[in-house]
Amino acid sequence: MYDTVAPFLGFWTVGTIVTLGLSAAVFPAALAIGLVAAFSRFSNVAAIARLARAYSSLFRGLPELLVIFAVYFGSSILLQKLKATSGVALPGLSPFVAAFIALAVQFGAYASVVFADWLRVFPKGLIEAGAAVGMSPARVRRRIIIPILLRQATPSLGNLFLVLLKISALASLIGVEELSRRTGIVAGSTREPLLCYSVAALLYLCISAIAGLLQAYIERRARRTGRV
Amino acid sequence: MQMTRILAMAAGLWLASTLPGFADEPIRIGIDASYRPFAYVDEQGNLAGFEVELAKAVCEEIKAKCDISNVPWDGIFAALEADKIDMVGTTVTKTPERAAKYDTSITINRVGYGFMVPESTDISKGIEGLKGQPIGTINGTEPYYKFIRGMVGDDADIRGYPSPDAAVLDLDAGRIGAFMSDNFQLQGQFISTGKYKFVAEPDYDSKWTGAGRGWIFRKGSDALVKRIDEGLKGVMAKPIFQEMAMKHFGMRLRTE
Repeated sequence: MYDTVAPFLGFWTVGTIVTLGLSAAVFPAALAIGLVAAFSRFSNVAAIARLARAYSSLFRGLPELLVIFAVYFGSSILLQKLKATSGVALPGLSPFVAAFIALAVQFGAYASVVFADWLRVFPKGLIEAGAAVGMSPARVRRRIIIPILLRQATPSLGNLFLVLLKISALASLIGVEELSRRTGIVAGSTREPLLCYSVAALLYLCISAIAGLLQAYIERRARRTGRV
Repeated sequence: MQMTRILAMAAGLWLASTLPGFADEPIRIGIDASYRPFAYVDEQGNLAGFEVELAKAVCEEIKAKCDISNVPWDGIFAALEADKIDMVGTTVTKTPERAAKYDTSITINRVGYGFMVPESTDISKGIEGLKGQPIGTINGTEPYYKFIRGMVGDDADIRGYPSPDAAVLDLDAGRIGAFMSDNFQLQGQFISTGKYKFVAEPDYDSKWTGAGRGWIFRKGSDALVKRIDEGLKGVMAKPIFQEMAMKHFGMRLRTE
């Protein structure tokens, strides 16, 4: 039984790397979007604050699969329309890029809520101290707020990363050959579905274990040195 | 000077290649390669199987450049409509509904529909014996659903699965009474192992199986369909066509 599956291990490993790569690419982008959206919530301009709220409510409410489909197929249909009306032919998004955009926008919404919660309880004294030594508001944000925010939010963000890792399996439905899609292909090619899905489960556990260790390391370092 | 000329040439080429109908533009074919022996991935990660070989042979016949990609079945029609691929290279049943919505190639092969149960099942009552039991089949294949309703009754409890493997796992677990699919798949993948059997002879009636199986294109692909049809006719007239069938299915294909 194992012999039929063993030759596919290389093929599978590539799928695992794609899963890890997709999540690793999406996560920083989601954090950046989340930070911008969280700060926008506290903007003095009411329209920006409302927009940031609307963004996080909308994308936290939509299923990831729909957003992935909308970005991948929707962009294609828009490009077709553009080609038909103006004659400009642009290349469409690759499945990987489409999944990256969809997941970054969606997980940015989750991250923005995490950040906004921490911003709400952020010690005002630190901001005032920054102002007192002559820092501009932008510099206070960069040098004081964001580093502390990231450190405080690490446990929640670690959680979010694990969710992202597993949600990224949905990218398989538009043809990203990540771990889940490749498992389906190997299962369909070897007729050993149970064994294949067990191997996939192990691979997912390995990735999350590595992510967990990394998170523990970051948290420990943050506690000891105060740095993220 | 030399550089500008190269750049101008490259720009010209790029422009030409983005224009629709450029002669060297590859035909983008999407096949779901998780469906052995029709299409699967071999140990080196390459696409293989009957559909893949046939598509390659047809492209060679019409001297076209083809770009075959592995597209999941769940998204294959969406990919076609969104212009991600030009042709569905998974052979699908040409039903009147599909023919109304898409362009189709000539018939590549005819299939029979059948119900499969574990070897130990009592089938003395034939298909009658399936009444009242849940029947598994493949999601999104409306001809299968119609066939099941036609044979077992309109109130049939049909369970859709994303792949034959998932359905057969549930058949083994006793969650469904039978698995309905085409005879190639049932015979080649499951019944040949000796662990399963047909409830009755596979049904080739075109009332269910439509106009046989072919490839699917977006509406308005007349020129492409004509080219592919010519290629198909050429390949199907050669012995290699039935040789590919024997290699992958262990049986000759019915094309009429």
